[in-house]
Amino acid sequence: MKNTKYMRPPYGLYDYQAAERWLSKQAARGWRLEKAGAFLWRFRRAEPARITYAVTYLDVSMFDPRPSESQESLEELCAAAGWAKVTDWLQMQVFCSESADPVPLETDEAVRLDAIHRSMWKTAFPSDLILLGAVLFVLWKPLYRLVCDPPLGLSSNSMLAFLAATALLLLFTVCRFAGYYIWRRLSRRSIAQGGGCASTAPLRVLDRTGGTLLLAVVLALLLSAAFLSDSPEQGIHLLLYVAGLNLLSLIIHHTRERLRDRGSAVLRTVWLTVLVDVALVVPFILGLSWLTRSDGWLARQFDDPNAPAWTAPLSPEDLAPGRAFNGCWNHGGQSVLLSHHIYWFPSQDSGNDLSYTLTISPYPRVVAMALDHCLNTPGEDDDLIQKLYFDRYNYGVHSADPGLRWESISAAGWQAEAAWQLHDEEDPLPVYLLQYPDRISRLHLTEPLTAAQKTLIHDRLHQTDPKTGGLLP
Amino acid sequence: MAREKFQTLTEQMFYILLCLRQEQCGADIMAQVTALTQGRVTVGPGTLYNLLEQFQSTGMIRETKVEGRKRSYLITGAGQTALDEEYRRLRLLAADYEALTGREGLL
Repeated sequence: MKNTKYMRPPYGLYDYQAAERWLSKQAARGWRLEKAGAFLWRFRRAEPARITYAVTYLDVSMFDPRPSESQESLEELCAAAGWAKVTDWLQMQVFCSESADPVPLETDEAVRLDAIHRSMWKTAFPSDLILLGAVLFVLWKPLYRLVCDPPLGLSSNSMLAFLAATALLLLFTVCRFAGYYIWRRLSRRSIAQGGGCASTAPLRVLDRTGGTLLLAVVLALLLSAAFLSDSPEQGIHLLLYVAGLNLLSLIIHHTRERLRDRGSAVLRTVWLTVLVDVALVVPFILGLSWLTRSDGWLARQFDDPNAPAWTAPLSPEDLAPGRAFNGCWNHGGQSVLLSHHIYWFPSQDSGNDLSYTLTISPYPRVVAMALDHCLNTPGEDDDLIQKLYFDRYNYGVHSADPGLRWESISAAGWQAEAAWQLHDEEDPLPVYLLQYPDRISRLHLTEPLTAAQKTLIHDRLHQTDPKTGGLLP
Repeated sequence: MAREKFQTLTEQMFYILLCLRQEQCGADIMAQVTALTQGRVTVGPGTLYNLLEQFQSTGMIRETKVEGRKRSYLITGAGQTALDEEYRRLRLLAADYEALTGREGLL
């Protein structure tokens, strides 16, 4: 029979009501709290007993040696009133008493509410804000890319999963903030009228259901990104990243707690924790990046040696047989929403021999969105191709030449639903935008086309594998 | 902000300051408040700790002695002023009550 068990506390830092009730209930079942951990609390088996638990809040830092002077003073006062210290969790100090009717730990609800509020701003809210800031920092580039070029930004499942998870995290954090402040306001009103703090139950429900939902959705999104991605290594990268960060935070937490338990000075604890943090996080990030880079070990595990060679759907040679070209540079991907690929055949002088984009989606609204983006940014793709090729991460808003505009042309020859040609002031350019029911393509050519070439383009654009962006075998 | 907070004192604040007209440690304060009010007012250790911290940070009391974990405090001039003002306020309340009801000495 196990004499120790670990449980996750079903409440937040502010929720003294749930903490006191839950711990007393566990003691009645024969489990007494021993130690509060970062994620799990440790209980030891004991005779079931009627024990009263109470918590109070101290303005202590997470780096203060344990016990700190303030903790010792509090313990002294509590001992005089018959309360024994059990453990502490952040600013929450847990006490218990076997007395049948002990003096309450807190006898002034306004003082309690103020102490809770100081604790929330000392640990809980800064942690939430730091987490949110870190996620937004990681995501600012993809978000920027999404704003600048929606088809490209939406063409990765991993990115969609990350964006959805961030949006959920943001929503959840805002709801928690709002919920806490509503509870505080209700409590202040109740205290002013001579009552106690308001019930924490609604806030607890929000915290628990919201937290569980967020975790479930994030996991589902990450797993679906791993399985649905055109490159599964991206999804595995995400999963490793999330799991690794959790493991690292656990190690860092344990390091800090051990130092505090040993009575290490604040400055020493801070420096050693930061040192462990850097010593673990830097190799982790570098190692993961190396493992998951495009030619790294993980990517090689998903290479299929029997896969047919990748061929661009349309090359300069297709349009003019025998014409030599310098290879094709391809960039893009596929998500559950759309497939978007960019192809560029640079000429000898790094100019343009042939370039085109192809966006495919089963959803008419997505196709319409991609078309709108293309029509509203007539000169963007040429600029983007250059930037992506020479600096893959140099996404940005592209300066639009005010003279460039699309002019509608006959779509019949292209076998398309609609077609446009780019004009610089009044001069037509060899750049075309073609709309088909489930795809659009923007072609930058070097010379006028014959009817046969236009038919070939239609056929090739419809023989493209959305997943790889290559020509279907 | 803190001074504004203590412009009126709660019963517990009042009795803590009252007890600290003589040097005392926290445990003694709790015991004396209960004895003085015959159990009508009790100060919990969590509340006492927070109030002592706040009184100290606003200069209404000062720490006089530290013996191991035991800390003793004494009221300051500012604390005494706050206590006097609260007493005056309570006397005014009582006077207004008596003037309107004419029931002096009822309690």
